[in-house]
Amino acid sequence: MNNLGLYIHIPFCRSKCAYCDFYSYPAGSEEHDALAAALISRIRSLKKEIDGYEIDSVYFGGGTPTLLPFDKLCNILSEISAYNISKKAEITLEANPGTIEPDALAGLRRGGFNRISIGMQSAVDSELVSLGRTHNAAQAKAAAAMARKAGFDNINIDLIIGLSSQIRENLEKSIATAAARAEHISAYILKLEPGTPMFEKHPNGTMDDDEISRLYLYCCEKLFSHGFVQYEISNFAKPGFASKHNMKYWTLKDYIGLGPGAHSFFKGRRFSFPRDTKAFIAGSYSNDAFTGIEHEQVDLAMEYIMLSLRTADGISKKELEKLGVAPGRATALLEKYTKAGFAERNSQSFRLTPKGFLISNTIITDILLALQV
Amino acid sequence: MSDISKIRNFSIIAHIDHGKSTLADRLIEACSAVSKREMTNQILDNMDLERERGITIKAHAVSLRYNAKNGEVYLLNLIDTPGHVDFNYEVSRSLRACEGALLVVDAAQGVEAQTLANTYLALDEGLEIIPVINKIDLAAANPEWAKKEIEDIIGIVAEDAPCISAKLGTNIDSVLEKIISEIPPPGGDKEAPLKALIFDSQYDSYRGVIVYIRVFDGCVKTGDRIKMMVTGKEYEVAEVGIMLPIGYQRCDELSAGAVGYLSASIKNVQDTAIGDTITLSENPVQAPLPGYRKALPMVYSGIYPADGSKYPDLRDALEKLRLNDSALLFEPESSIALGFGFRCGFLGLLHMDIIQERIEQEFNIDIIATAPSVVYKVTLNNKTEKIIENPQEYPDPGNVEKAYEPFVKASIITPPEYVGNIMDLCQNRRGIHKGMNYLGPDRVEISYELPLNEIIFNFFDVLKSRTKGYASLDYELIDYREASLVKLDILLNGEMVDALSFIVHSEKAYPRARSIVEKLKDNIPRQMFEIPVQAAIGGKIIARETVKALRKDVLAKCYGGDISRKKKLLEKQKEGKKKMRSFGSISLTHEAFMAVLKQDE
Repeated sequence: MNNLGLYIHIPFCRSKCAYCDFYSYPAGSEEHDALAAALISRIRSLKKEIDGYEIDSVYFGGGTPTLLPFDKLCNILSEISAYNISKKAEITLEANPGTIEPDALAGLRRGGFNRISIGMQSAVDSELVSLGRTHNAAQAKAAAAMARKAGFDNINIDLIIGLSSQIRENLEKSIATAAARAEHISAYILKLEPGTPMFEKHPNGTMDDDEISRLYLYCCEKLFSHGFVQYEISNFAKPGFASKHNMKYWTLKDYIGLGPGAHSFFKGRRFSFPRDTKAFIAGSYSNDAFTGIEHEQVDLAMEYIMLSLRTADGISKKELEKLGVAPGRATALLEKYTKAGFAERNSQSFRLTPKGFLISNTIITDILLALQV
Repeated sequence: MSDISKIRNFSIIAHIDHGKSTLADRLIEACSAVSKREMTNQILDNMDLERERGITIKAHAVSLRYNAKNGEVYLLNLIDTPGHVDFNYEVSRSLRACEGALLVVDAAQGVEAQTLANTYLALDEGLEIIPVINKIDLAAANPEWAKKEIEDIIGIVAEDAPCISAKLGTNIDSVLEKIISEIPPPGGDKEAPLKALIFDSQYDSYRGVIVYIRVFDGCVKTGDRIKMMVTGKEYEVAEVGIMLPIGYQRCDELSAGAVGYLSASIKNVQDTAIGDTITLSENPVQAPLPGYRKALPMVYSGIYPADGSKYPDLRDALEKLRLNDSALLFEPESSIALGFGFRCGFLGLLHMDIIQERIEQEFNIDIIATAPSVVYKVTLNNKTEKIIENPQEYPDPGNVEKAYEPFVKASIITPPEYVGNIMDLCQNRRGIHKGMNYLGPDRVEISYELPLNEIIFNFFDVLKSRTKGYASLDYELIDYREASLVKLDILLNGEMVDALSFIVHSEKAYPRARSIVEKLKDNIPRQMFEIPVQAAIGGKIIARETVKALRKDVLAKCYGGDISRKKKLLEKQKEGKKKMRSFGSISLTHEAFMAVLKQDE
């Protein structure tokens, strides 16, 4: 039986955060309804495609999925559950503090969601203001408490590293707050995307590279001391709580993404829906779940290298050979990185350390060039 | 045209952009059957690069039939000349082939540095000079003032100078009439032994090298056995003819007074030396025409392929370019830093620029060029003399008894308000003030003797920017002078990068060293470790900067939707890295390397 992950994208937000360049926008409830209907119809038309697959992870992301009423979300999930879905499937919902309340959470839990991802970003209110978030630290803490009460024993909290003049003490506070309330923490180094208000405000960055790298390394250490094991560049989890769904992205496993702007890697092909909600809704009343998709190039060797180096497992020599790559060409380079403390290696594998994660773009490029991929 | 009295051989000389080429177009139009539709602008500038830059690089010639007002038909041979100071020798040989010259002066700009320089060349050749005032269509045009400048500064009568607008085609026939009335017909004896001047040559894939000649005495026809007097080589003439606006036209013979071409299955343009004399093998002339000079390069630079595997392509490109450019010299050389390449000699910076651009554009080869360097001379302790064309060959200072650098005489013409700026600039470049000459109320000619190596970088650009574009420059090599020279080496991560070494006057060593290490620091991409950048003289470090180590280059989020974008970024990064050269353990982009070679004020 093949495993499959399913991603559902809800591109609606109350307002746009200063740093966000995802596909999301404020929309009215009619559009909410129309999208929900479109998603359901497409899920139904997946039947033939996913015959022989067992769904072992589901992820509702956005935007702010919790802008939709909880029963609508459960409706969508129930369509998915009608398929061959593992009893131990990880079913995640992204939630924005301030858009959830106890009844809804209970309803969602009953409906089958068993993991919740709370976008806290920071436990320090002044930092939240500079990000343009619509909630404060207290609300985020309350949201986590609510989730626990509603029966969620798998919670993720998001944090951001590198806010303007973020001092170590603040980061420490955010880490401690998150660690006490979650099984999984995603800590992202802030990236300023052109076109966002934050980029306009800080065209030269929020702090210099040396400072950000120090904060990141501090974060890795601190999280470790709280019992969170780093398994990817930005993802940390208590043992047993690594995100099954997200791991699919980095290990080239199958997943289907439904919704405007959603991406898939399925049966050896990469494709996505255009970032156009109207078009997605319009195409839904047909027999083909994939109406309107755009295909992308696949380059397995390159993707394997760039994605696996993001993870704590790193690259495996065997896998490289399976993909037709001769690992020997990069030996000297890997030695160099290992000696310098950016990586660790043994005869079978090569992985980056947190220091190496920090310059992983450069390392990946060098390795690709050395291996002639 | 068998009547020698109806021939006129002339050239057009002017300062850059005064309208020489446009006038040539109008003359061709006025005389020929080539309709406006058939004629592309500036037919004599037939290389794309020339058109792009608006300058003439190669000299060409064209024969025009003119029906004069007096009812007679004349044959006007227009020999075009390059206007840039780098190609002075070619200009002088083209002028040698003429009896007269049109001196074109911009009615708004008046007499400028190259107006003077070219006029002196023409006077040296004994030509009849006809001033022509151009661009009378401009609002700022002042023809009377321009005429007066010509009379006062150059000293020739300009009262009757035709006032024209080449752009609009105004008054062109007055120029043609002046040509036939003022320029003497050529002399020469058809029966005497053949004496013909090579003033240009061009490689043609069918005919081999086409030699452009002015016949002074005798005549030449198909089947004749000719001899090049300087090179000593002999050939059999396959074809002779003249150049018409629409193309080449064969004819039976070229005789005394004529301008035309011959082809003789000559394979190499190198075998046809500009300024050489052609005569008949069986009945040679006693002495060749005077004035022959081997074109000497003034500026050398190392040219290397950015991608080492393209070395053969680069060699082919240089050989093809040399087909039509006998002044281009090159020899293989190698550098630890850059691999295998060529040391190339050029007549000057413009020549160098053009060749580099042609290699990149026409042959599609990315190249790295070392800083242009001049030719130094040293006398070693054991009294032997050495000529240094490559900074890496500079001997150990301990072995050098005396060193010499080339000096030029520069003439700068400017409005008086910039004199201070200019003198500042020249002083900064170790110039020796030789005099100042008021050419008129708003024109000053400043003379300086300057070391050539102070001019070859960006002297011209800085001059233009300090004088709001008004100043003009002309220079020529005068002699070699003793100088206190040192070789400055650049070390990256403790290793010397030979391609960055250069020779500098000891006075300038420290400031140059500082500026280079600072530029390198700003241009070297951060790498895994901290990189010391140092400048040294004879092993002693005199300047140092540090490139900090790379700390952050990461994509924090990489979920389903990010993967394609990330792949594109990686591809870009890979391409960028591929183009980097490794200098020891350091990678440098081509841009970084070049940025370093540019000098500041």
